[in-house]
Amino acid sequence: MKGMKQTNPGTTESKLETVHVTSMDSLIKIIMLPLQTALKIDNPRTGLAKHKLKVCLLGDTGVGKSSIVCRFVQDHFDHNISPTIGASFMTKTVPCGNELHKFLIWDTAGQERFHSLAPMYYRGSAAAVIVYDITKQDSFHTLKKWVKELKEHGPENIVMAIAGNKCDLSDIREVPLKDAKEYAESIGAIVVETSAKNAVNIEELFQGISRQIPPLDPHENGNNGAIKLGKQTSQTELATDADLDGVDIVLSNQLSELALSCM
Amino acid sequence: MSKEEAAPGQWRRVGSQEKPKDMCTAEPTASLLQVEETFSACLARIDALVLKPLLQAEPNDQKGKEIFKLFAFLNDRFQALWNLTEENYRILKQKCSTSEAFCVQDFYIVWKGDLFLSLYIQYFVTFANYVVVHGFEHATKSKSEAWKHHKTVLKQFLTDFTSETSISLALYTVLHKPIRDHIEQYILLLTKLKEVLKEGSEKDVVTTAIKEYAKLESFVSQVLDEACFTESLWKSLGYKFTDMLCVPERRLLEDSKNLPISASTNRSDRVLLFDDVLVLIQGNSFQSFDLKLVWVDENCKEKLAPGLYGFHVITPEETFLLSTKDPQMKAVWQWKLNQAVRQALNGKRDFPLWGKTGEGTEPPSCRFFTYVFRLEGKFKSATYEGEWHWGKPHGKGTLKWRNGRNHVGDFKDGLEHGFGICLVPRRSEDRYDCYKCHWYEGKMRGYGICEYGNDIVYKGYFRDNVRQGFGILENLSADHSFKYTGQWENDKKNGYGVWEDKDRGERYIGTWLDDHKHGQGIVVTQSGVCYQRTFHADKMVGSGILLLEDDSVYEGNFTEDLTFVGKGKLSFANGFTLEGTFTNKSGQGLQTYGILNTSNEQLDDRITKAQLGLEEFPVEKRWKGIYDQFLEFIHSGCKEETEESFMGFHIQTSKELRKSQEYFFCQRGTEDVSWKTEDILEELVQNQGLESLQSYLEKALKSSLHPLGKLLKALTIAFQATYSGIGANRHLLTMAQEEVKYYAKKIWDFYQGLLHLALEQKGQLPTKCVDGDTSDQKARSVVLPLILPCFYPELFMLYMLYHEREDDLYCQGIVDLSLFPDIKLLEFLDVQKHLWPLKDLTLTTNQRRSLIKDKCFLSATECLQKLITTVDPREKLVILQKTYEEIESTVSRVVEKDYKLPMDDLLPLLMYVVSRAKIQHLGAEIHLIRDLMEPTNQGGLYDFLLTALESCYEHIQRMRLHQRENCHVNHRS
Repeated sequence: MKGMKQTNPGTTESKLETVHVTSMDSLIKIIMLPLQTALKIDNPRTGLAKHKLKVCLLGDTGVGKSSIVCRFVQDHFDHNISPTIGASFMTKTVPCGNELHKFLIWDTAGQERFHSLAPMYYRGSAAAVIVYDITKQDSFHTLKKWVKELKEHGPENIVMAIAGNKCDLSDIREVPLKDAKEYAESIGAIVVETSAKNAVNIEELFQGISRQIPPLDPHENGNNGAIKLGKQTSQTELATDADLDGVDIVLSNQLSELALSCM
Repeated sequence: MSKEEAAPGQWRRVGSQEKPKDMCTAEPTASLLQVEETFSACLARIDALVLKPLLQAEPNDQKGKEIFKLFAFLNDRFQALWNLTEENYRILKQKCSTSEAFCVQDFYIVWKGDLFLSLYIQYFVTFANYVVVHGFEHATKSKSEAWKHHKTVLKQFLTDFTSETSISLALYTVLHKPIRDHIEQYILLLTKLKEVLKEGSEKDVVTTAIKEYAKLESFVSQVLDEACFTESLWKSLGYKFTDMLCVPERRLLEDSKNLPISASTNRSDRVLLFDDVLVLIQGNSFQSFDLKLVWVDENCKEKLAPGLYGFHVITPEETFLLSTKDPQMKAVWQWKLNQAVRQALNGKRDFPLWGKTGEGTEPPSCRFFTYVFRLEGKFKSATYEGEWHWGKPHGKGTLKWRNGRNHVGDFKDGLEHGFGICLVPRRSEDRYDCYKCHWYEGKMRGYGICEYGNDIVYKGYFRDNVRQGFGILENLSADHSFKYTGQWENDKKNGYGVWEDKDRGERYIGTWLDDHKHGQGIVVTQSGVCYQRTFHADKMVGSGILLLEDDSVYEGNFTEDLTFVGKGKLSFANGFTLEGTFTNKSGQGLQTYGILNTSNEQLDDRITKAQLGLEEFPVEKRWKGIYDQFLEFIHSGCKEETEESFMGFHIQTSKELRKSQEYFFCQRGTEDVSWKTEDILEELVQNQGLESLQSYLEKALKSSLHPLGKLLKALTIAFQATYSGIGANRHLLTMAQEEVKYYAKKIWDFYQGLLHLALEQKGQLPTKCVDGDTSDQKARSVVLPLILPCFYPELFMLYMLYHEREDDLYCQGIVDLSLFPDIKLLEFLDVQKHLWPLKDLTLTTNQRRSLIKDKCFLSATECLQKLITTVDPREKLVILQKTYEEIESTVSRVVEKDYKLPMDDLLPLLMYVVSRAKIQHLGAEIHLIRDLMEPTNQGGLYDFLLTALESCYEHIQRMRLHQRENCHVNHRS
């Protein structure tokens, strides 16, 4: 793992000089500038700003909310297992463009009687994953209730992702994919059918969320990770090595590609 | 070592025994006897013919009597001298008649040299005193019969001695010359003795004795010279001066007539140096300066005219230049003056009086003396007793004014500077104001305590003699006792401050202008009512908001005794509102014309829980006076000696201070435990690592000596003054909570400031924070947990009051749930059956499993109960996490595998644990944690756990509400 860490700014700077010598100015402008931004040289270790994203899970009991998250969190070579609260609170960091997205995933109790407590959980969320069971029409109804509630009481600009879970059981399906897609489109939400059991579309679900998260304002995160606390918990902080294990590879590969193309 | 030293001693003893008959000393001994015999006879004749008759002629006039007293004294000295001589002579003579053996021991003038010397010195000093006052002239003018009769006899005798024709001169000669001559004889005898002695200790002793007698000889001649010099001065000066200046013991040491020198241009026409004072004469007046307070400064600052040489004479209230044209003369004067000062300070003259010019040590520049100030100014007529340095009070001293004012303490360059205790009499009463504080160049500056004579005490900062900065004024007397904690400006309450009127049971928190409530203010009362108003010179103006204890709120105009007047809106807790005009005529009670709205909407929390003072008193503007002092302390470089004046005394108990007052000197017993500022700074540098920093800060903040500890102490006092007692009002929660967080921030800033300074002083560059935490984060994570215990009681009380209603409801819910046996409760809360820890329900014979209580999830319950034993939010969160772990491990045990609880399972279980833990003020706990935990926790694990706990808390309340509603429904049906 250590050998992979070529992402320190020193390396890139020396590359930059090389480019200068070959006077490929236009190329540098095109390639190097975004690269520099990506590295955020003020960050001594990784050069990446970390974006903390609170995500809350909503949906009926038994639709597999926590299974999806467990699959998402476990089905990856994350060697540093960050502390969790059982399957109720988990975290996972993924790269997204020039940033790292650290998902702080909050499970909620699906029982009807606890419904009224949900606002405490979804306040400050950047995204909500609302899960229904494709084999249970009722759960799709509940989903609609959640969407309605979020629209009315949820945080502004919350990213909503609809997950139709248990797509491995499509033979006993009660909710057609078309219904879900139409509904999602009507409310501007991401929708995917997932199978926590077979690890289908789990990554995609969260990638979809990542893509919808607006990037950090460089001015606001410049101050080495000062916390920006608005209505939403979308915080930045320095990515630590632990967060980056597994992420580096992707990034360093991108870097070397870029460097090569400069030569 | 001791052997060698013992040897000569032994020898001496043996020697003196073995050689008693030293024939070589026989001859000097014989000569001694002969000389003494002649001398004795001479003295006998002087006694009979001169002293005895003169003693009988006591004059009648006052002056004559005084002089006669001196003569009688001289006679005593004469007799003492004569007796000594006689006595020793007789003993030796007796020895001679019985044996022919002599030894050096018999030479009493050697062995009893000190005695002889002292008697001779005394005789001549007394003689000189008599000469100075023209004693002999007075004596010869005696008009008594006895004297007249004797005169002729005396004349005959005197002509034998001297050719002087004047009787007074003859008397003068006859009373000193024989005695002086005798000293010479002694020296001759001793010289002979020395010649016959062999080398050895005896010879050394004799040599020393000769030297001493030689010194005596020159001493005598100097004494007589000075006496004559002085006498002729008195003769030449007018009565005007002699009446004031002439004292028998006073000697003239130098005279500008003799050795020309002049004091600063035209200051005087004559300079006289006496052995105790320096006198400047001009015309008919003179000025005298006590030599003990004269400093000679050779370094002339101003340029002297060419060809002039001089030096400065510094005295407490005047400094002048003595200058002369001859460098030699300047040197002599300077030397003489210095020697005279030194001898005056020693309290006795040297022996002999003068060494060689230019020899001898200079007088010390630091002295201890008493002086009464004469010149116009703040010290006029005041007596200063204490240490001096170059003409100025400097060091420790006491200054007493005629009016009873009194200052004890440190002085610097003539002014009060440093710690001092000052008593100032009050004009009307027989009482004193007692200031114990720090002074700076003559004025009070820095921390001090003033106990006014009227039982009011001020503890706080001063500047330019007036109260300025942060301070506490408290009236301790029984009637109208009050306490003000806050900002002072120009001796008056100005700025943000808290006033507690103990009689009215009221506390005002707000701004002041020149001792009046002015601007925005909050008043909280004993009964729990509180209101916010605008004040103008102590009067309430405009409308305000009145928050009543029963949750009703009045907005409008009202008086100080809380009666509504004029337009206003009263909102009741049940949602009714009454809007109209209120009047309150005496005897008729409250009257109103208006509209009562009974739309029955529950009052918004925003009103019933309104938080006061947030915009009016931003946290940065509260207690500025405390921070300012600390900041100034850092900016001034954290000097040890200024620490106390900036940061306050480390002892603040009245007992200790009274003690310091009793002893009336500034021993405040700090020496044994004092933290030297330099040590503090050194420690700061060494404890930069996170762990050692934490323990260092903990120690520092606990210490009453460390600046940070003192700062914390002052903040604690300010905090308690605002929020304890009457101030415990739920409408002040946010103010208090913000304040504590700000304290942490400030303390962290000041720590950084100290560290910066320490590094700078060591020549190191302060390193930038590498771990990326901002200083706010550090303040929260490092400082807040350390200081929170100081504010916790008051702060938690505010949280409890704020959440009182919710906590009550929740407690009722808990009571309801506590009736359920374990299984029933698990079932009630929808905990999935496979998670029930039925194995934990062990049964005794008479029990049924369904009835057992408080057995399930006991470990988690007990863990959660520890929440109330902690203060630090972080610790509370850790307890929460452990509680979860206990739940998880119990569940894992039940299902016999690692079980990761999803929220569907966790929330009911947590609900179960919370209801069993029965924490009374859970709402207060939760919100305290939420407000004070590190902001970085937001959205994270701890936030999640806390939210889960909060949702349980909410749910239990809702269950209770539902139950109540159901009850109502049932009752109605």
